[in-house]
Amino acid sequence: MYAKLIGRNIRRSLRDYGLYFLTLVFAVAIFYVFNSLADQPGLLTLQESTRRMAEGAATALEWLTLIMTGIVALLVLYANRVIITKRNRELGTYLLLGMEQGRLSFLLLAEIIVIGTAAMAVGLVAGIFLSQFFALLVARLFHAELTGHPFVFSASAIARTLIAYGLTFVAVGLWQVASVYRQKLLDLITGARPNEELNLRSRPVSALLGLLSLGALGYAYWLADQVSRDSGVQPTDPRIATGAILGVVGTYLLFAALAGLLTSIRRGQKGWMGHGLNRFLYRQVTSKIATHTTMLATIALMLTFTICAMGFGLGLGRGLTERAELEAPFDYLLMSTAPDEDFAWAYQALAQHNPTGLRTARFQTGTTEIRGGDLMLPEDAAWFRGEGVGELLLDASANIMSASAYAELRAIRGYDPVALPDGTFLIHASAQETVHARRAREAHGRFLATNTPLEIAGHVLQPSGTVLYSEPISTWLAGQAPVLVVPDKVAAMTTGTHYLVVEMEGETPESLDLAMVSPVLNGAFRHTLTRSQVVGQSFVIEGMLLFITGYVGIMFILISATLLALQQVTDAVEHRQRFDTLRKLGADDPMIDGAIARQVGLYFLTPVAVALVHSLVAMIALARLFESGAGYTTVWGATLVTLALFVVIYGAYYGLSLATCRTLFKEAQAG
Amino acid sequence: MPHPEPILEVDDLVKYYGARGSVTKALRGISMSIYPGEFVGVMGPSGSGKTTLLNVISTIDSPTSGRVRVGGQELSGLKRRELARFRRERLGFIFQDFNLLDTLTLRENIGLALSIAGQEQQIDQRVAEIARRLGIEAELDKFPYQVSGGQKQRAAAARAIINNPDLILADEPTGSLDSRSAQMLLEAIDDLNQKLKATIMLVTHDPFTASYCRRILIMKDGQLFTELNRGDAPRKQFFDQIMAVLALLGGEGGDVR
Repeated sequence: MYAKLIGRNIRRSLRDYGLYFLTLVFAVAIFYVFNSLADQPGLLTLQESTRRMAEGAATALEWLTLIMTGIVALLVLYANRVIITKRNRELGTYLLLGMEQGRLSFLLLAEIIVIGTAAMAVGLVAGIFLSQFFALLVARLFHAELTGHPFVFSASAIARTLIAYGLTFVAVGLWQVASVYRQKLLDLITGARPNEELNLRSRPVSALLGLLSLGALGYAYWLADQVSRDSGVQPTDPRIATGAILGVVGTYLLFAALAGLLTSIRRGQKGWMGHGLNRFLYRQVTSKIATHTTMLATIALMLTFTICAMGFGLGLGRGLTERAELEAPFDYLLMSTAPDEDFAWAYQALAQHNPTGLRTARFQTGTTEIRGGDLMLPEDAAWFRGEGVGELLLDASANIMSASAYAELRAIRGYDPVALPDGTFLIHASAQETVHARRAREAHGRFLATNTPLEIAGHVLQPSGTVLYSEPISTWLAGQAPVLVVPDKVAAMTTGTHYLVVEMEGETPESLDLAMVSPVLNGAFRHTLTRSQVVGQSFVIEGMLLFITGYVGIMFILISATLLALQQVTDAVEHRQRFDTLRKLGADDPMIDGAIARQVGLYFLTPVAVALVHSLVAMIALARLFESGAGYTTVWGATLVTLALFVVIYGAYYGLSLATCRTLFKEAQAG
Repeated sequence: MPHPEPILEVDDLVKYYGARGSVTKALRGISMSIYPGEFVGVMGPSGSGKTTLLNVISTIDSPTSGRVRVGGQELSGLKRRELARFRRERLGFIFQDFNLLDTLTLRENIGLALSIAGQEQQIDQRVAEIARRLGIEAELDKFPYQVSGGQKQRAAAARAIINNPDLILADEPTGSLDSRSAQMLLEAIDDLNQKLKATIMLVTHDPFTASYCRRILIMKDGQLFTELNRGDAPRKQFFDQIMAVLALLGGEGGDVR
């Protein structure tokens, strides 16, 4: 009999709270997938240094999954509390029929453990299945070659999943039992049902709250706009924290105001309101908003966070990868400040490996007194004055490079050859896409157009033309200040830093990467920039950002949708009575179906609408910051991907909870 | 009428609700007894304390002071385990809203009380027997939502009596039923009382329902107001008598339907 009771109760729970179960399954599956990352074959093909970095990141990811498990545990706790509250009467009946508390506890614990075990089993199977696709994604992200189709299976990830979620379910189960123990039988049998608490705040108070929230949100939006227009904003800028806090407070105030205003509006029967079931629908949704104000505001904020974080993370990652190509245009770039540098170790390593298509260029750049600001018209320079990044650009001194070295560099990268007549110079500026770099290029261009001569190492040189060059030659060479390319004999009169540029066909072998690392030298600075490392690291960072934001984002969307669905389903009895009444009043089935669809839809959309407005403002600001600060234009694309993902998951949950609500709301009156 | 030991003894029962400042005195020292085989009704206007009295007797609620004994067993001081045992062996319950478990069929609902008591081997036979007496044999394998309110309440009555309790407590059992179903239920309960000698305490504010009882206690303001005995009078006559007393009660008492 007990087994039968448990079985029947579980079946009912699955029917009524199927979406909640689905979320548990997803949570377990995603937990497994991300924990299996360290065992992904895609990672094993990475180069040593990159792999170490990826493994470190994978460990960090495991911590993240633990935190997310904590959040899922809160969801489980909340969901069980809601479900148990709805079952108070049933539990009281068991006690009245003489069931002992111990037995009742056993019954509840068994239910939770069976459901938890089922969720873990289904979730693990789904996770193992999903991790096969995940392997492809990982391989793509890290540009690793997958040989064949290895079956990915991580025993340690399974163990971790079982421990994390097993503990979660047992803990929630015990908490549940304890809370039922504390309840008085009287409360279980009579009342103690949470009433739909209509907070009938007076209209003036609601209106005041509304004004306050609009003020807070408006100011937060304005701050976001202001901050994004500033260049060189630091993450510690107090305006960012202020804006975020105002945004959060404003959102809670907004929902509080909505709750009061929407319920107190008394509009006539004319127009939209008077049509069909609209008035009923309006009351259904607004009473829900009024009851669950705090939760809806929280969901709106969670969704905002999700959209922004995913857009930000994906955009930042893509931007980093694109910039890596720009920063490390050569396979190896070695620099040294040692006066008599010969890069002997590098030549030795290259000779040992003897790579095909090897091309090298060794040269020395010179220093001048000419600064970035000297290569601009005064009115252009004025734009840069007065703030950090701009002043740096004006003050950085330009490097001198010989025409022959420059020609070699261009040839190695395959850029068009450039002729430099005797007695002339040309400017090669940074290829960066930040606002400052772009403004600087424009300014240098205008400077060239004025045909102003420069005095370099005792020679007066004329501009070779009005064309400014800016192909990527690494930010070491053309960074803050541009490079001045001058005739060899002029360049020979200056001294500065030694460079060795190495380029070859195909990928650089890992052993060569290690051999090219510059040995430390006392009293001088040496460094090697290895493209495969820069690019590999940016892939790892991009991958990790993608995983982290993807994981948090998907879980937040799932949790939000689950909370919304739970609220609709748990009040099924009340809704059923209302829809019964409507039917008795003559509403036909299509009308009722439509009303249910619109009710659930409106309820799902309310927090989304707020989240979308917030996100739009935040993303405009972020996109502007990214573009001016780092030249990334990847944010919008990433945001679109996020939105698409969002629509798919959220839409699926809407559809499923609609189906559940239809059966529950229309079911014959149960006893 | 010579009586054996009373099955229910309530002695100077007091129940206060609320904290200091706003105390509700639901029961102000009420005493009463019910003897084996009696069918007693408790009436009174809303707020008179009748539901509180029922809750205290049924161990759902605990008294502020005073004593309750059922079958010679003092209720206060019973431990959780003993209370559970007491409920499953001595008491049966019928609620206004049936309180059947919607995941179980009527047969399983009725049998649940025996399952909990660990008397599994008798279930089939006992359920069939009681169901026949209450006229719900054909409905036994249906779920609660598939049968009418009257059938649900008769199933609840069957569940209440199946473990041969000392006392059946019924709280407004006809409250959710139409008059025809109410009549059928009351006849069934009367039958349980007459034929099976079940002792029943029924709380109601409906004079028609009350008129099926053999004795009626009328409460007012947490105290016993008066007591009516049906004796050998026909039900109709008893009903008129009840109406007359309720009219006397006046004020809020007049709100009975």
